[in-house]
Amino acid sequence: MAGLYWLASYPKSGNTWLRVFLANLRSASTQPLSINALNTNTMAGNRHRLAEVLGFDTSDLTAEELDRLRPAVYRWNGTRDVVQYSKIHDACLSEAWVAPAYVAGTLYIVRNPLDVAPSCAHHWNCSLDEAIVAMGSAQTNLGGSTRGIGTQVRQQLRSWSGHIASWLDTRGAPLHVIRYEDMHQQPLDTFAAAARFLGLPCDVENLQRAIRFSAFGELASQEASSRFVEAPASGQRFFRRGECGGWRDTLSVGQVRRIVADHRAMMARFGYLDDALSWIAAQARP
Amino acid sequence: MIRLLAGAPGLAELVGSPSLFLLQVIFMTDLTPHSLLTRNPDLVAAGMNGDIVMMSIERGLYFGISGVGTRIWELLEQPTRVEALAQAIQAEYDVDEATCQQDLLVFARELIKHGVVTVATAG
Amino acid sequence: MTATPLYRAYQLLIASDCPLPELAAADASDAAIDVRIVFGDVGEGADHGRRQIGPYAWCAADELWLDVPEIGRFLVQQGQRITVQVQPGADLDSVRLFLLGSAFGALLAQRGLLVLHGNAVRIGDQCLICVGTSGIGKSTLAAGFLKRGYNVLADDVVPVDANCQAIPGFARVKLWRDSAEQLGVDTEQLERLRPGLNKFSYPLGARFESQALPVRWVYVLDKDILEQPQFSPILGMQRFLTLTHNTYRKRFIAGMGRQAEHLTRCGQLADSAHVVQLLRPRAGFDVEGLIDAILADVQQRV
Repeated sequence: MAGLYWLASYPKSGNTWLRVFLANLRSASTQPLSINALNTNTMAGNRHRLAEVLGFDTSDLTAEELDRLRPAVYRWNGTRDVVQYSKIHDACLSEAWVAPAYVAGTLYIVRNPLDVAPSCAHHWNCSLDEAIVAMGSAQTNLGGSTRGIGTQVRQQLRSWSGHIASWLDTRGAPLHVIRYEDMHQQPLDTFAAAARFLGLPCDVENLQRAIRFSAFGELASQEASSRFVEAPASGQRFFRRGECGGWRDTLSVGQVRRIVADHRAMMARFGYLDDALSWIAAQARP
Repeated sequence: MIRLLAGAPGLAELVGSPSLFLLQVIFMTDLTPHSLLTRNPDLVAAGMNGDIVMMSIERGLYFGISGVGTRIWELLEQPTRVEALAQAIQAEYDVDEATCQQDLLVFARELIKHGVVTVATAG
Repeated sequence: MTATPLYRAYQLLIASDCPLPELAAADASDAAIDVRIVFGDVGEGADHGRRQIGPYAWCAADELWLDVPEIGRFLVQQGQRITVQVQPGADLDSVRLFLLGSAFGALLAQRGLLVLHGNAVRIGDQCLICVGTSGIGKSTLAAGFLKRGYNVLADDVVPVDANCQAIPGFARVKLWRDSAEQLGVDTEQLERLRPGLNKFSYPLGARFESQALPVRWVYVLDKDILEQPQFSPILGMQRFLTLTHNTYRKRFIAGMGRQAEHLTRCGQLADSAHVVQLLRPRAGFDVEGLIDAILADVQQRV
């Protein structure tokens, strides 16, 4: 029985928010769950978990060798007669990563790259321009240092567009795509469809409870009173703004042009292009 | 006083079984002060910095006992009647008879439920 | 005919067809061989009724069959014998890394030792073991201790016996390029552990502690959003969970039927050593500061 569901996205695209929602949905709790109660063990890039299943040290392997071995680990995890929801930021590297034999489905979240860029810049502690360049490059990785190792393994992202294409275009398990903006603007429909796809309760009452308990205000206030384990090492906040369209106040015309140039086709595909183009045009008017 | 060590990181792998949460429904015999409690010989137990951790080899489950429960476990080295346990605990700890009896019965039921001890009511 | 080369490590006399240059060579003696390492065909994982415990690992009572794809396959038996099957095209350096890692880890567990994943450092007449999840900074910390003049008993695979003594391994520490720079060591002078990896073999020489020492402190390294390192004692049954989580390749323990012994050993260690969680600040890695803090903590926890 295929038991693994991927919760896949480019970084800073709503993956954590979705996982908080799912955790609250699956729990009968009458209170919002702690944001630190998310199980980080099931993340695809968790080095410790990979080594445990492999039976040998990942730190004695190159990142390329490890990428060749990872599908076998996920296949093992996904065939244990237990359903798992696993966050993954890697681009989908091959059909082996979405084999229906062990992957029950991929839930993929897309967010407007104009909002992703400032969020990445903040989380990666780099400039906006550096984040935009990284998002446009097919060579961008998470945790790619070869001089040492971290608790997460190297994860190949490809470009923002390349990341989406890799998950949407690789043949394999069923795929369901949701937009971050729809999680905000049409929460009940969007989260209901996601829950249904993942084989979870989708009665209105439960959904509304889980939506309420994972609302941005709740997450930010939890983080204000106690640190979030997935926050950036720099000590800054993880749940910062969580809004849509903040890019209009943050990006310059040149930066928006750059992102559109890098990702035009994918932006059009997901309904982000028209707004970007009208905004650019509007800035030109005196 | 007794904890099923379930779901803790790493234990699932150690046990070699994916499902730690399966607890058998144990038929609850009537527990009286006269009941004789015997440690389940299937268990391996180890002192753990004041607490006790035990493992059921057969079922692949781990349990932890802390506090007064550790003394009760110690007393169960030989099969012992509930009333004898109560007497010993009352002598060693600052607790009144009624509370002691009651808490002991609750604890004993937990031990039985988890298969840590078996109970005989034969006179 | 030349005799099989002899080596000494973990208080064992090892006869190995596979060269083990990191280990101390032993003179031919009348003493009984404890462990034999041979090259050979290990068959398939599922042979002989072994049970699969992972995509590349099969176990039976005191037996482990492990496949490290593209590199080698290992059959570890009864704490006495390791058969190594080198994959076509694999280099011996790579094979040896996993032989000295997972294969030896399983062997030592089969010999009844509690094997922890970390490193052991001599402090006075006792020893401190640093454990923690992969990538948390154990090796970097060990490098820091070396720089301060402390000796290392074992790196990566740390066996503890029934008397709660850490058993010395061999005189080599594996260092990432970053850790080496921390130590002020020029990696140009060091041998790469295997091709393609910026990880190096650092010979300890006189800095290798060849005596078994009582374990007095186990520090469990982790990181959090903090200004200063933070020490919290781990007490009672929680010690079992901690020691289990940091057991070397703990998945093998169940497969090889060694759970009962593992529990007993953890109990012995939990009763005789301090077990302390050490949270280091996530931002940056001030190794010097962390070692200062550990040494101060060690003074308080005698």
